[in-house]
Amino acid sequence: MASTDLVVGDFAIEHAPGHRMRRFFSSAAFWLTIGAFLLFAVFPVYWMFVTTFKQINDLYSLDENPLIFNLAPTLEHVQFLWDQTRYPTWLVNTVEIGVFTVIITLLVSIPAAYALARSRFPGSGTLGIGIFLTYLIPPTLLFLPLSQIVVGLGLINTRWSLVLVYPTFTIPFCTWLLMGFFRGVPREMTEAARVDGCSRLGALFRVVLPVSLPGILTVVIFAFTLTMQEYVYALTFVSEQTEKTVTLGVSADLIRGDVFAWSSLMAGALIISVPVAIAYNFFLDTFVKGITGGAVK
Amino acid sequence: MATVELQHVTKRFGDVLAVNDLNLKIKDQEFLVFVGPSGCGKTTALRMVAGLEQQSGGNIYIGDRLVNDVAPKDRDIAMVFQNYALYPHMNVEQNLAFGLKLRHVGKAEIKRRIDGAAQILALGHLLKRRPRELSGGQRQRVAVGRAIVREPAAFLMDEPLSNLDAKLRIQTRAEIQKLHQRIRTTTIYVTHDQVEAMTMGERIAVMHDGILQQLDTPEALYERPANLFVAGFIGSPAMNFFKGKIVGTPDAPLVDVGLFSVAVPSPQRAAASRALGSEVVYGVRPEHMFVRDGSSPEGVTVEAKVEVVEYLGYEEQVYCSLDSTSFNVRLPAQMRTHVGGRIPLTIPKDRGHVFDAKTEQALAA
Repeated sequence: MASTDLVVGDFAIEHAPGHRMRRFFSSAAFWLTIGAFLLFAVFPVYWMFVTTFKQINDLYSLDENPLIFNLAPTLEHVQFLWDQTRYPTWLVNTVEIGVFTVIITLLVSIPAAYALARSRFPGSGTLGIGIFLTYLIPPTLLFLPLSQIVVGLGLINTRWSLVLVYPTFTIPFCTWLLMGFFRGVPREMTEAARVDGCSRLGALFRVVLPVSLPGILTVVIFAFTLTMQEYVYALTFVSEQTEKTVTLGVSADLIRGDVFAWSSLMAGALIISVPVAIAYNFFLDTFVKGITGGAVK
Repeated sequence: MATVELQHVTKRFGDVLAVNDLNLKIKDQEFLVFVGPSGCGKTTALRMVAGLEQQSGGNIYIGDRLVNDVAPKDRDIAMVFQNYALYPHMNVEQNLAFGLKLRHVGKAEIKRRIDGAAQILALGHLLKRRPRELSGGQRQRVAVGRAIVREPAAFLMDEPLSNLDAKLRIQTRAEIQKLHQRIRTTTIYVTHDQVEAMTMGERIAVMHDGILQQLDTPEALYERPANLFVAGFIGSPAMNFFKGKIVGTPDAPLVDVGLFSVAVPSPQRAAASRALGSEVVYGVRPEHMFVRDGSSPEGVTVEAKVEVVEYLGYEEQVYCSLDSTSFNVRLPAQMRTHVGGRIPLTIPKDRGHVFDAKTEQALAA
């Protein structure tokens, strides 16, 4: 009753404070909820950050506030990571594996997604779903048969085994994502291109791909992160120090028995996640659009 | 510039026959309109001419060339789409130049053609803008411009005005007509709007259920509809129909619709004489009936009850009833017709149309 805006005169003025109060509480509830989620999401990252730069005495001291720097921040753990472990090599390996995997993924996913999004051929719908289903089979099941293949090809213990294996999960995921983007490109646009002088393939390269560029960049970032965070295949296929990835290297070399080099571990994780977090930030909107694209048209 | 010819063209989508044995020839420099309700096969027919849809049977010729298996890009046609389909990642100039660059037209020639099109369509100040920075009407002009610069054998237009608001649509309608008078490129134009078809087409192909119903000039479609569908589709409001029977003598056949009898119009009299006693449908357009006064033309007069009056300023559309049969008439606005009243309506003797009730075809002249 008090919230009726049409009421004029004393009656409305009398009830205005109640109205304002209710708005205050509803917005307070909103910000509290957001705040709780934010805390939940940001705290691990913050913890990673402070642990990286804390002096060991500060880190293990139980008397002080653990959330702030009680002693001056230090770079010694980053230094240790850089000089005393093979972290730089792992970093290069990770990037190298990521780049090759992304290239293979794009080469396969773009034509596959375009065909599934645009052509109607017998079984095209089933095939689309089939491709996605393969993504749902967990690596913990797949690594056994895949290891046979990797050994058979003589790639065991090299980073190339991962370049071969990682597309098995990036391709289904990226094909599915790209289908959403391609479906969002109006069919008439490719038809206009074909009337204007393109072949079907020409229309894909000259019109569909440039128009879907944000989508493709999103796919690149996500494929790259998927390879970057992978652990099971790396652990099972690679044991050579110089062939390891970051995820494998830091956990294998910075945890000795029950001794955890916490600060260097956190440094290793922080260095590799910051650029990715920034990239995600730029492309999150287009990513969501890719997943929902075509569904809401 | 070229003719476009369709011979026995058929298109099936699964079990649906979208276009059924379509035969027609579009003359060089002609502006031909495909019109019909949605799903009648008009857009499918156009897309088959473009090569975007492969026909299930029949032959398509552009000029003298059989193009059945020719890719869209090699058919020398340009198309304007309903949603314009401009390339969003290119500015207006690049949109216009796209087709020419793919055909390796020289730089100077591209510039000449773009300048020409920009001048005709008043696009000069928009050349550097992206499509998303343009209004609907401007986008529509760019889409037309993209077709013009190609200087193709034929333009194919698929409902190019239906995304514009009413006022802009009428204005652009006139502009497209002017454009055609100026460059005289053979044009096939698809629309569901019979007013657009009547005002723009030199000839109109009326389609229904995948079948060509009648191909003729706007005047002929209006004056001599070939069947019940064309009679009901062309003209707004639609023609009134009364079920009846041919009676009278071979010399003076009449249509008896129960409520009244009216002489068969003279062009159809001979055919009616041969069909005495057969079931027919008598059609008369709302604008051809008059309220009887001293100067009314000869005809039959009925007392109709006024049910609804729609006042439009320059005229009024009056929904009447005669016993249980309802029909409408267009009367001058100064009539000031009153709902519930009765008016004496004259149906002039030669303005009606008689159709065979079974075949739905007009009685042949």
